Formats: sequence, structure tokens, C-alpha cells
Amino acid sequence: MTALLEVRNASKIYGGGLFKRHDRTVALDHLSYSIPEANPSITAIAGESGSGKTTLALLMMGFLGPTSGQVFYRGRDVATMSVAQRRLFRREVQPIFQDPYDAFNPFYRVDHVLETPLKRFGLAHSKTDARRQIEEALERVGLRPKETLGRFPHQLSGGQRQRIGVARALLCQPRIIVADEPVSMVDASLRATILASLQVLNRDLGISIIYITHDLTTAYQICANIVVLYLGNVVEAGTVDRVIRTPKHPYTQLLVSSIPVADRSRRRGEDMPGEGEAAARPVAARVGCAFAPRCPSAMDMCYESPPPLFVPDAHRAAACFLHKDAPVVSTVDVASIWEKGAA
Amino acid sequence: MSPEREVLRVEDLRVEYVTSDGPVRAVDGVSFTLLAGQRMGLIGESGSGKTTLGTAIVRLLRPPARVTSGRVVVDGNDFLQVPDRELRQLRMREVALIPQAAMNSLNPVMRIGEQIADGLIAHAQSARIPRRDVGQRVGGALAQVGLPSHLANRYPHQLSGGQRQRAAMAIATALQPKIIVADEPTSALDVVVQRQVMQTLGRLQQGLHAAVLLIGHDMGLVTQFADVIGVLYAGRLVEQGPVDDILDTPRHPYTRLLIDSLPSLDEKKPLRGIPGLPPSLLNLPPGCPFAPRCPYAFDRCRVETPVLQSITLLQKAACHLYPAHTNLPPLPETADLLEVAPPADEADVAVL
Repeated sequence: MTALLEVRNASKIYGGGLFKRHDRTVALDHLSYSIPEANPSITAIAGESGSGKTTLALLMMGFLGPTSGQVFYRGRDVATMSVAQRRLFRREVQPIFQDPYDAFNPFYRVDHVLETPLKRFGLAHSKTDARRQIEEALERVGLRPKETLGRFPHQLSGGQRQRIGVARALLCQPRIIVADEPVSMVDASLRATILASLQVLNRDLGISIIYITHDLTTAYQICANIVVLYLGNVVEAGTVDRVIRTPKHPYTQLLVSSIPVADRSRRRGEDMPGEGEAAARPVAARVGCAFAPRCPSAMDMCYESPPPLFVPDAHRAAACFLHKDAPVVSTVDVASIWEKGAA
Repeated sequence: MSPEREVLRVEDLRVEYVTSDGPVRAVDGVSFTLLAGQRMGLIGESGSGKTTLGTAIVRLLRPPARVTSGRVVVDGNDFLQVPDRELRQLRMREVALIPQAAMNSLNPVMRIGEQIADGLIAHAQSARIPRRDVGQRVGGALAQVGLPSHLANRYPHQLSGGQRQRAAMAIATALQPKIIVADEPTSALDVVVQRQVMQTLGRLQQGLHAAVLLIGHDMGLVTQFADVIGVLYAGRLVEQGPVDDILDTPRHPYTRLLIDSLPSLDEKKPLRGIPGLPPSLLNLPPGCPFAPRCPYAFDRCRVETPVLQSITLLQKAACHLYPAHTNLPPLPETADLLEVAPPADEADVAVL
């Protein structure tokens, strides 16, 4: 199985510099993850702020280089690829940004943002062809071209703008879309339509989607697999049915139990496990499990060495010594956790 | 069970924003009452007028917004008519606002304790707080929100996001108000911290036996906290009642579709949004403001604006389906709702 995009043993450290060694923050800690060429799926990268999820997204899109490790697209290292290869990479891996209010230039009509990628990548052979492609893309994301084209961004709602962002990505004929919190700034009644359009792209056009989020309920609804990050480390990964329905890592359990659900029979208890918040620690201070200081089940060994990913059951792995009797994951690639189980 | 005393009554409140394109009615005839110790949730999407309503209740509206009619009755007195000097004394002591993004409203160059003391000293006379007690009261205010008293000596940047939010709550509630208006107190916080802050608000409410008006857009969050809820749409209350009744049997189509659009953790179901867009308040359609998006809408809805009417003893809805119906009928087949099936593999497995 060949990987379309591969993040290999990547770390990202912010800050520091020559005189401030102790101020370094590990945003991502030796993470390996690949998106296969076959079987395009929707995968969630979940975690709280500071978990490294956005850093991982930026690495995948080549907007940021890793401090150590590599990112490959179609087998080529993104850092050293040729101009032509980089152009292909830029076109085939498309972002959708969080804030639909910030992502548009208010002086241009929305047509501009849709025409630009077609021109830039030479994807349309005539004006009519460009127009046809744009209309098709808009319809795919549930917008009526007549009511959308010719308008300025301020004349559209946040939900509509976000869908234009999806349509813009779509016009590049991408293989991968990295959507960073695409619905966190959109009203509840409009969220579903945006997520539904992502599902359409995945199902009908075979585009792999990385859905970066802190919202486990939407992740559960639209994703097949999930990677949960905590302070730059993978704490749990697997199919959403395993990880979200029956979480094995105490951190995932805390996240799932904190979700406010509109169901009063399941009022959340008053007890609050893991009081305190994630604080990115300086490099030197972290010896054991990063979650140990907040963990209700922390043991002595948790402070001695970082836990590897154990496989307590098929299609899932958890980095927690509670499962130390289970076998350790055999490869470093996080995506192999659910791929293997499927075989 | 003795009936609780009424502490807040909002009567037919209307608020307009004056704009160059004409007045925009952000709050349009809202009425409700809050009893001592009651937790009310106000749910609305952006632009529904929920923040304007909350701000109007504590009388902190600034031009171009103005109250055009209605009353806000606090303990029998019309709060909107109180002279400014008295108002300054009543605010914080009777009614407190925990504003949106409160954690960003802290003064970055003042210690937390000084910021809490500020409010206490300003009210020292009317609240009869001797100077020498201020320090102790600051500690008490911090304790109310579950923060250790030594944080009084810290600056805001030395606290985490959740601690800052709780410090802002301590400032707002230092004078032990009877009514707390909390406007999206947890937006921009992570889910775990959000849970802590909501628990803090719950304990605070219990400790003070205060009435809380929780304003938010997150149905899950609001229904977990509140006893009764009101649903706002285009500046109007479209449904009102006890949380359990509304979650079980929503009577207004908007409430129903809003509940249906919530992703659940129990089953993978097709994602369902509400078709169309919230209306522009500048030129509201005639009739019911929800009619253009409503799968149940019929001719009358497009001409006559429905008023809030009692459907059951405790539940009210503003919808022309009543009193002809007792419940919402099943969704019409022709409903043009965007639907997308869950990922194919799971669905197939279930069928096989």
C-alpha cells in the first residue's frame, strides 16, 4: 500500500533559540502518520488547544516545516521537492480554514476566490469551462450559483462563506483536504450542511479528508477514524466506534465525558477528574506520560517513562500503562492502527 | 414545596438598533419571569438577539441600541426607570452580568484581588462593607468560584484560561447578586475547562440561591445546566418551558429542527441542518419569521405573526399549528432537508 501523504517521525518545537533553551515548547513529538492512496476516508485529529492538532495540519499542508523528521507527498520529501512537484502538492492538498469571516478579501466578489485556483493551476481551458466548473462546485456544496456568484463576502452568511471555501478547495481537484475546525465558528443550524458537503466530497469524489477538531460528536458522526492528541503526543487512535464509544485512555475518557449532550438523563456528575489544564511543558521537564499530572489513574511508572501505544483490542491503540499487558503497536505509523485491524 | 419568590420579570421588552437603513428590532416583545434560585437558559443562534436581550436586562445597552418599550422588573421595581445614580448601586448587588469572553475583560495591569476589591469599594456604602473587611471579602469571592485566595496577588496573564474566566465570575458576583446574567460564559474554552466553568457557575448559583439567566447557542451545554429554557429566533421567544418537556416534545418547528441538527454520540444518523438562513432583522418577512425555513409552514404563517401561546401547563410556543394540534405532526414528506447518509460501510454492515 503506497502512501499519498506521509508524515514521518515529525517533531515541531516552537520558541527556544540560542539563549532561551528552556522556553522551547514541543508542539508535536515524533509523530508518524500516513494517508493511503487507496480507500479515501475521513479522519479526525482531535484534542484541546495546545494539543498540536493545528501544527500537524500545517505540516501536512507544507505551510510549516518540521523541526525534525520529514513530510512526503507521493514519495517526495516536501522540503526538497522540485518546483513542478511542489505545484502538484499545493494543488492536490487543499486547506479549509477555521474562520469564514477572515479568509476572504472583502474587496473582491466571491467569484474571484473561485476563479483564482483555476487560473493559477491552468485547470480550465476557456471562460465557459471555468464558469461551468465553478457552478458545478457550488452545487456540490449545496449553494445555488445564481444566488452566490457576483456577491461580496459580506453579503453571505458564515455558513455560505464556509461552503465557498469548500467549493474553492474542490476546484483544485484535490486528493486530500485538510479542514481545520471548519464549523467551530458557524451556527448550529448550519453546521450540518457544511459537514454533509465534506462527506459528499469524500464519498462521491474519493477525496481523503483530515478533519481537525475539538468536537468529538461531529467527529463521531462524519469520520471513520480518529487520532487523539495531547501535548503533541498521540494518546489514542483507532476507529471512531472504538475510540469515542469505548475510550481506553483516561484523557479520551475525560474528553468524552465532558461533552455536553442534550440529554438530561445523562447529566454530567459534579465530580471533576483531572482538575487543571493542559500546559505545554518545557522539553526537559517531561519524562513520563504527559497526561500523568492530571490523570486520575496515574501510577509511579507513568512518571518514569513515556508509555508506548498499546493495542488493547483490534482497530485501536492507547498510549497508557493501564493497558501494559496488551501488545505494543508494531509500526510507528498511526494510520496502520486502523488499517491493520481492517485486514 | 413553597413557591419561590419572583425576582425578575421581563415584560414585552423591545430593543432597536438605529442604523442608516432604518431601525433593526433585535429584541421584539420578549416576556418571561425568573424565580429565586431558578436556572433559565436562553438559546439562540448568532443574530437572534440573545446578547442584546441579556445586555438590556442589566441596562448596559449602548447607542445605537435603545429600549423602545417594555419593562424589566427586579424585585417589584422597574429597573429600566431607576435613576443612574441608584442604578450604579443596584447593578452588581442585585443584578450581575458575566459578559461574553469575560476572561478577556480583565485589566492586564491590575492584580486579580484589586479588580475584585474595586467593585466592593464602589459599593462599600450601600452594601455596608467596612474597609477592613474588603480583603476578606475578596478571598470569599474567589472561594465562591473555587479559586484559592492566593490568586488575588496574581496578574491575569499568570492564570490559565479557565482560571481567568472564573476570576471574571468572581468580580461579577463579589456582591452576591440575586440575579446573574451569564452570556456564553464558556465560549472559546476547551471542552474539559468548559465543564469546570459550568460546574463553578452551578455551585455559585446554589451558594447564593441566585436566579441565573444563561445565554448560549450550544443546546447541549444550556440544557445540561438550566431548569427552564427559552428559544429565541429573530428577536422573539418562539418556545419556552421546562427543559425536559422541550427536549422530549419540542412544540415549535425551529426547536425541533435545532434538536434534530445536534450530532449525537449514540448513533450515526444522517446529518440534518436547517434549510435556508436566519432572516435579516432589517427587513423581516411578514408573518412568522421562521416561515421561509419551516417545513410545516402554511399560508397563514406568511401573513400573520404567531404569538406565544400556552400549549401545556408549562410549555409555550409561538406557532400557528396550535391550538389545532397538541403536538408537532410528523415532518412532512416533501420537506426539503439536506440529507447525507452516514459513511457507507457502517450502514451496509448494519443491514447485512
